[in-house]
Amino acid sequence: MSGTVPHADIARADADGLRVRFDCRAYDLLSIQKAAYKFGDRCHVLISPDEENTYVDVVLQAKRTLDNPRFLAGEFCNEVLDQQLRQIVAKETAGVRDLLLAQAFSRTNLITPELDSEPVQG
Amino acid sequence: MIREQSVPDCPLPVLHRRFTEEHEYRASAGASYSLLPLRFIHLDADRYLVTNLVGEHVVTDRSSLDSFIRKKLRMHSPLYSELKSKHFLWDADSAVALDLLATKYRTKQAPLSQFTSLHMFVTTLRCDHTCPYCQVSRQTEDAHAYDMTTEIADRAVDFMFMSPSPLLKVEFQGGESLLNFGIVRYIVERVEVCNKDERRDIEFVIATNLAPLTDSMLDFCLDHNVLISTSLDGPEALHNANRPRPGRNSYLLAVDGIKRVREKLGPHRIAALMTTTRASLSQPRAIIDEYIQQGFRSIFLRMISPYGFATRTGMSGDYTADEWLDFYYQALDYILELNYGGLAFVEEYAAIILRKILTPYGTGFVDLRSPAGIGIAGIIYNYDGGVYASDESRMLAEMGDDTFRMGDLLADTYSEIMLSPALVEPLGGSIAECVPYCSDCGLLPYCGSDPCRHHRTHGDFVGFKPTSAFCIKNMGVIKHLIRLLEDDKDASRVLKSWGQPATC
Repeated sequence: MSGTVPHADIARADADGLRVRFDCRAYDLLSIQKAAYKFGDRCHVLISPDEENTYVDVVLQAKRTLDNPRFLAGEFCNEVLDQQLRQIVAKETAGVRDLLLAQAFSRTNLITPELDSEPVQG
Repeated sequence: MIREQSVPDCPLPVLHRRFTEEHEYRASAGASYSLLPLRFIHLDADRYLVTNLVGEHVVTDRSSLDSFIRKKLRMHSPLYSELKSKHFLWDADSAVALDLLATKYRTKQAPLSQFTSLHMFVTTLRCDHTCPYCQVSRQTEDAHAYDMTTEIADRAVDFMFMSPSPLLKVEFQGGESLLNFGIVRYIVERVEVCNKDERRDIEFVIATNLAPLTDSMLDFCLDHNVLISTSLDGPEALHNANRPRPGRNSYLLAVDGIKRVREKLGPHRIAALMTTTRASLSQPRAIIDEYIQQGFRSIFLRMISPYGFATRTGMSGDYTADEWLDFYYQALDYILELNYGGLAFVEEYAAIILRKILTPYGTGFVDLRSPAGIGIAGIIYNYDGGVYASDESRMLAEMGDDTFRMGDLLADTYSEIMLSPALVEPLGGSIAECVPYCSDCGLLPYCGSDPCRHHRTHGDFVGFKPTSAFCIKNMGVIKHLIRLLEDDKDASRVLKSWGQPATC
């Protein structure tokens, strides 16, 4: 998955719009959902996993008639790849991120300790 | 890293330490690395911008980014070294990386602990201008029912001093604030008396169109070290079209006022702001030339906001965010050209963003913070005692929407007001790290949020970012600045001087 513009046949036109099929062995649903959210300004998006969770069909309907639907579909696929990378980063760095934030604020008293147990007045 | 070799017997053996051969350091670096928290975003068709928790950044191509994240990046390659030095990864050599990153993050977030430093006092809603884009829903000059009283002023000053911030900026707003100059004088004097015990660092600013400015007002400003902020939308025809004043030429009054302020208070005691209307979009150079002609050495290029009369007259929807960005890019290009020619002139919005990109510090600018600076960085006391989370939310209230009204100075305590759901709920929706689209965005360290605008335009505090004018604007500006820093040596030199001034 190099992230280059995919083959022109990735999308199949049907009555609803352009349909892109994602293999669940290679793409996770969360990445597809996040990409769909990001494309909400350009497309109406319908996400339909199959019952066996082997693939996810995504139907894209361009909101603006001047937009090239096949180009949009290609960009959508690239965005899913980007979201997959983000998932890798999030998974690996979750622990160290919490550690960093804890370390960053370990010497900061945002609330004066002696007032913690008293009602806020003023 | 210093490795000890055998040292002679000496009270200060450190003096005899020597560096070992280079290969010994490489051998210790290990064969793998770990990722540190990062985000990324398309910068253009070929490149990605990668940022870490504290806003350090790297620009690279997709293939290298993929290799880096999948742990296939060649160690000791130039990109590896850059990523390591900027805290995107750590390896066996990076014993202090986490400590350094934590310290930098705490520095970036330091403004949070200082709490509310900007306190705006709306002295009156009366105004002598009839600007169609007015965000304030102004009242006519004779409507004294819309003036702040001394009772409310007293309470507002007491409230202000309950903020723990060591710096307090007192800003007078309106309407036209000088139309109730009596209360301006009253508040300044009262703040000075209170501050004898409080010992804060106080700044006074009056926002005014300058039309009612008298010599005695100027004398007062001189005696009390008051700064002036005014509006200058551009050359005479544009300024007057944007800011009509019945019976008088608004531009001539503004220009005369600017001159008088400089003569009395000094050349740097006045700043000007402009608002971009549709008529402005075709005149970026003329607007900047006007600022130079009036002696200013900076400009703050602003989009029109969707509040008050700007909404009723339709002006707030008069152009898209993309059209404003075209205007901005042209203006910035011209400003850079002027700098290359030897004239030091700054675009202030770019300067704020550049400080976030290039320095370890945060910003006090309310809209470029996460959580947003509403209430916790800036707060506004309306003429009637209402307390609002921001100037924009006060304008919203004048339109009949009280969503951001935190409380009443005459009825509520400090804690009731600062813990009001009208503040706490939108603050929650303004934490960029926790909302869709923003949480993964590579521009997050440089951006912020605007829950008031999103409430107004999208119906909730978070907003739908793919269509948000706030998001489109900031993405456009920030990416443009990063591309200039990366690709244009001359522009980069100028922009770095804006982002790394002598004092932050």
